[in-house]
Amino acid sequence: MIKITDLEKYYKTDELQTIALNKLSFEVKEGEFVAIMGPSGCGKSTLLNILGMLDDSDGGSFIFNGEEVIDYNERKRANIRKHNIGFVFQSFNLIDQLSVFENVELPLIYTGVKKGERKKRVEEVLEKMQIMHRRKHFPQQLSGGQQQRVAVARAVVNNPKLILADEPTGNLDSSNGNEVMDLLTELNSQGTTIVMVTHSEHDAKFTHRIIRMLDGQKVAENTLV
Amino acid sequence: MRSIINKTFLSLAKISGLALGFAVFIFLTVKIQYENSYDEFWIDSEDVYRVALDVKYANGEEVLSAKNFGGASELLDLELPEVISYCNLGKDVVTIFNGSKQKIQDVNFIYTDPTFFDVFKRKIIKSESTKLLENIHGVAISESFAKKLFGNEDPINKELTINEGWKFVVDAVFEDIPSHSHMKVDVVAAYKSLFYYMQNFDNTRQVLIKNPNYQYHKPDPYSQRRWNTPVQYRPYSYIKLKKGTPIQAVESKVAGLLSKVPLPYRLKKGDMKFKFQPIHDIHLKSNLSHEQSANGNTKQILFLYIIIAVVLFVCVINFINLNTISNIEQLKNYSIRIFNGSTYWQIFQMILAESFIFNGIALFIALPLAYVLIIAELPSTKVAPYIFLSVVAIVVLVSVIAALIPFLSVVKNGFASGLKIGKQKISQKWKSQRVMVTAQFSITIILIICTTGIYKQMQFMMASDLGFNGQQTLYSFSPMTMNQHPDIPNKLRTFRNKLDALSDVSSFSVSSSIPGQKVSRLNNQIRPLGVAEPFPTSFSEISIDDNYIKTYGIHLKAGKNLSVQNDWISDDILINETALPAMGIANAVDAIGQVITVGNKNCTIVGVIEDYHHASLHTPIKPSIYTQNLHWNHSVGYYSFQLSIKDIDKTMSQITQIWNALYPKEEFIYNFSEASFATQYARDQKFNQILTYSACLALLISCLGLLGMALFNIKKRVKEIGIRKVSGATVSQIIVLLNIDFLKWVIMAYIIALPMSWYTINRWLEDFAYRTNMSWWVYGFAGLLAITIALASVSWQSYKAATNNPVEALKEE
Repeated sequence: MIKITDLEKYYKTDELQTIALNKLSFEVKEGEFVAIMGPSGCGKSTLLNILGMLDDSDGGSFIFNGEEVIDYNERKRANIRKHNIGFVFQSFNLIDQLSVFENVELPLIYTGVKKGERKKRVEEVLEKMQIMHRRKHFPQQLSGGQQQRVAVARAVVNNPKLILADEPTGNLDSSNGNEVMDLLTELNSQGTTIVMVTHSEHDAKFTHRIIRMLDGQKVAENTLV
Repeated sequence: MRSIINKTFLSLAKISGLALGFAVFIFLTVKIQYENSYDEFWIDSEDVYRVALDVKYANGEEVLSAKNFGGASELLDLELPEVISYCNLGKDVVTIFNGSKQKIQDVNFIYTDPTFFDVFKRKIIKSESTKLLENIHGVAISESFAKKLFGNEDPINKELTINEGWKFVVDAVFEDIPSHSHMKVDVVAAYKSLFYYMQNFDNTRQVLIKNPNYQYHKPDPYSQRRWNTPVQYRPYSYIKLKKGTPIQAVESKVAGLLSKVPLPYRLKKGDMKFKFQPIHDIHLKSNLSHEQSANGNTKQILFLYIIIAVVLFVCVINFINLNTISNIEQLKNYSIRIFNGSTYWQIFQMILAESFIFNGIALFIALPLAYVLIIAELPSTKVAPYIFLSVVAIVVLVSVIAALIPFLSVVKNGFASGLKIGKQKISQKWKSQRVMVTAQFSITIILIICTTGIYKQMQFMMASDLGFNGQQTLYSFSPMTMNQHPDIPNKLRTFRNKLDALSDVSSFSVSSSIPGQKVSRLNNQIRPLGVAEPFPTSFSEISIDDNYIKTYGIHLKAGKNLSVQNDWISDDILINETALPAMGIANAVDAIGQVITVGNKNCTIVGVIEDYHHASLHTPIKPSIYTQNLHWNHSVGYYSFQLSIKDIDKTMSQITQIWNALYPKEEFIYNFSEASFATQYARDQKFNQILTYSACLALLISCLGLLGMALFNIKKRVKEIGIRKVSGATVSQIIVLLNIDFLKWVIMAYIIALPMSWYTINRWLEDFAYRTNMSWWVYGFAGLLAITIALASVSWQSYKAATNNPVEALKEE
């Protein structure tokens, strides 16, 4: 599903250039659950943003679903993104002004799904995430665990092939964290590919494979299953 | 100070809006001060009154005239101990020659009593005699007119000649009467001189005959002669009361006094009263017939006040708004200070100090700006101290309010939450800002609609079919040196014959008035043949020749034109359509051949012309008669030239040559008739200019406000935009999302503005007898303009936000 080869990314300021990704190569197969680990600043989030087509790379190749996307423009990338990729963030990134239902509905609006269909699908996924009773609430009225479940609901509502999760349990206590990890595992078991950036060895144990990074490079890879 | 520099755009928006608002405030307040201060500069001005005339005739006609009978002020002076001085004043607009050929036109020349300078005290700068206006050949002239006429030479004892050929010597030079007076006076002569010259000047030889036996008889208010002068010869009457005398003391005695004089029959049968007008009220509150010149009115002052209030409101709201926004952004900063031991009062002081600095800088910029405006528009105006005080008061008030509102809003928000919530919770707290921006935009849209409406009325007036055609028509004053001269017809005939020979002059006409110029004669003594009682209306009486209607393209409705007369005198007259009902004639055809009595002459109506606008569209068309009579009783006449080609310069230089040969003593000065007509709208245009500038200003400031809000709003929604993009939103979807937010307020503002502007513009249009209708497009245009400009000002910010990398946005906490 994902194949990156010699991927590079630099950050430039006036005086110096920092290498965020240094000729990074790896592959993620369809249906895999992969954890990316490493110390802060090793390039994990940068990698995730490039995989999510939110950010450009400065060199290398990125094949998504058999398609070279490295040179795609913003419109093409947005199009692939909205049909294929769901995001889960550490800080949930819900829109405060929108209710739970509206937050989850958002990706469906942008993919042009009809209103009736949207309602059905949002309710289905809310049901699945067990937050249906909270659908009229606003994010600030929910606990952290509930907010992250809403975020996961939003990430999966479009039935994406790939979920990119950036420290999804980072802001949660252990029981809420475990709930979210169970959710992700369940999604994976239903066929969704997941790439997760995490600091937590505990969370990493839920995955099939761990890619360890340091200074923008892959330094180790452990297969768990 | 640091925060001012840090947020350059916001600071600039705040300062420039306020500075413009303060500058407009100062300028317009000075303008109102100027309008309100008319005639207040005279010594004892509160004791000086103009005695106007209010007569209801038995036939129902009512005359409310700024002029009065000569006997009025004389009678009051003789009979009432409260009256310490009086003067009558007859005004003439003349051309004056300084001995060489050079002439000055439109000179304000008054004949008055020697007591003029007792009532209207002026500093006498130079004088030959101690008794002003006692010398029959002497005149007093104003300082600036002396300079105009004689340059830097000493004017005393210099000779000047007026158009009749009368020569006077300058006896005295008086300090100029300031421009904010209802009286415009360049030269003052005595009535005594007027009567002497009228009796003893030989028009044929253009010389004054010496008459050592001449005795001037002081007019006697107890004689009927003083009470039957036709209106055009009546003077303006003024009295000065003993200090502090209430005018009611005089008013109550008038009826008794009038019973002592032998009033003519018509006045006796009618109801005659005097209307005492304090002189400083004349400019704004008096709008009688025969005013010396067009006055201002309180309605325009009211409009100015409204404009000041509106502009100031928009600017101040803008400032408060932007200030609140920047202070909300500082919430975290304030919270940290509170946690580190600062008190609320200290925080308020900080906000207040910043607010004062902004206001101070704005005032510093506004002062020179206002100064430039005042110098350009209202030179020689001294700014009253109360204006400075009110500016300071406004600065203090704005500073305090602009500090208090954000302070209270952050207090309400809770300082403690400042650290936790960052920028997120604020959204609910700034509804008041939206309301204010909506108010700003409402006002702006009202101003745009009013400006467009006034512009439309201006266009309507300019494009209206005035019933005459002034295109390619030029006019000059008739030669002043020829007034009263027996040679007039001969010279005029020669002039006309020579012009006839010029192929490019398609028509030449001579008349006592032309469209756009004052009709000096209003006749209320026109009556049906054989009937003693005149028609109940007064008629404009204009003397024309056989070419007048051709020169001005006026159409005949019935009958025929006046015929050529060798000496320009005949008993045939034309009337306009409006005169028909006034004379009780059913239709134009019936009028032909009817004989009416004008004064003591029987005249036959030979033609009826279609109505045309002799005066501006402010006033309805008056019933008018057009006589043929070259003797215009001292008043100024006009020569009009209609040209058939575009090369006006060449033709006019040929006419100038003809003129110079015939009237060598006098310069030929000409103007375009259309331009002269348009000058009647100068006041409206000025007003429209003020309104247009205010509307632009309000629009600019509202946009600054909107832009500030946009920046803040976008900053607040950065994360949301990021999330939406990650969820698949395109750039255009984001732009639409952000813009719709602003559009909502502007549309709301538009809905509020509609009825208010409809009311305002209709009130303003009431001033015009002929007015445009306010089409729907005026309202549509204003809405579209406001929306377009609002969108243009926020779209760039929206675009920038929509194209930002969402990764950056999502990093923001």
